[in-house]
Amino acid sequence: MASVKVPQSKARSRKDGAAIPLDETDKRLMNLLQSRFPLDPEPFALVAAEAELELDDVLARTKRLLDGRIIREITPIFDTRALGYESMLVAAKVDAEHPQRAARIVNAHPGVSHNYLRTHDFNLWFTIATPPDSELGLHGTLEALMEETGAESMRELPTLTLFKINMNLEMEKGTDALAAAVEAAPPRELEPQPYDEDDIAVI
Amino acid sequence: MDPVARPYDAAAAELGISTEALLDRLRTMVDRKILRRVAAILYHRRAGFSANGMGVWKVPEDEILEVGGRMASFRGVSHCYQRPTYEDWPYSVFTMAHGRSKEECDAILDSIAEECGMGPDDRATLYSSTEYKKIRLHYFTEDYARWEAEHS
Repeated sequence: MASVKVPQSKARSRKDGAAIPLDETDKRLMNLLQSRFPLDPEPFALVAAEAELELDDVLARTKRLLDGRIIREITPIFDTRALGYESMLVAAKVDAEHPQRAARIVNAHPGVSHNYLRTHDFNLWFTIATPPDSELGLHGTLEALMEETGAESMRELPTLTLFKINMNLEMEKGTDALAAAVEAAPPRELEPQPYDEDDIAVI
Repeated sequence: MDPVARPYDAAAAELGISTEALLDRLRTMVDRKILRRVAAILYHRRAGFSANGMGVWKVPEDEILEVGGRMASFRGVSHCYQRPTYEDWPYSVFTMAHGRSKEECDAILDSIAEECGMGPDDRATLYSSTEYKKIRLHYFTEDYARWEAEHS
């Protein structure tokens, strides 16, 4: 369900800026859990072996990170376009005095997963998806949103080439590591893939 | 999924299948590129990554494949895409940088600019000032048809 988040509290004093204290073992564990959670009946045992920790320690630390709202969830990450959903990034120029009015209208669409105010003339940026059986389609949906928000301009910015999608925050290393180039990967496939009723049940 | 020794058991039980059958299904979904991976998703800000800078770049059409691949290779870049340009939007390549501060985002994007030979006029950086919404999408639900019925 769509839930609108208010900006998070800025009250953080720790050196690494995390909301609860994280030791080096927590950070190593977070790097492992973010990269690929094993498809195995006992995945945490495999994570524990890789991190050279006891299973109970891994479970306790993971629970603390979930309870402390550092980890949002451990979850399958599906490919929106492979599921036949049309999706794209959209940039809009909306009333700079009252952007929250347009933001509220955009947020109400169930296929809007991200919506941000950004520092530019194009000030509202959101990602939106419409399902394969949509009657309006993505373009029609955006026309409706443009009319309702009164946006001065709304630009469709679909992905033409996907070079990288990997939301994986480096917890252990500093700025130099983040600013360094690592191995380059070839562009990724973007076509819808076939799926059946059993897949839908799992999703 | 819960932090228990056998976290897939609950979902398998809900589907009325064995845990191995569920895992087999998930593995084939990875092979078929429907499922990217199973992984932990962090609350970026609470994990200390309070800043994100969207670097956008004017890359000439015939250099996009090569330059885009190089920009994607930076560890601090989570997303890198080629997108269309318009008369009021000249930037063709997008790189999303996540850092523990605005300065760290800038360091990542500056490093990209240097490595890829991009000048000051070839780029813009857009910082997010307010997060209005951030959710994981729900697929195959009735909400979409309901929205369309109310808005067409």
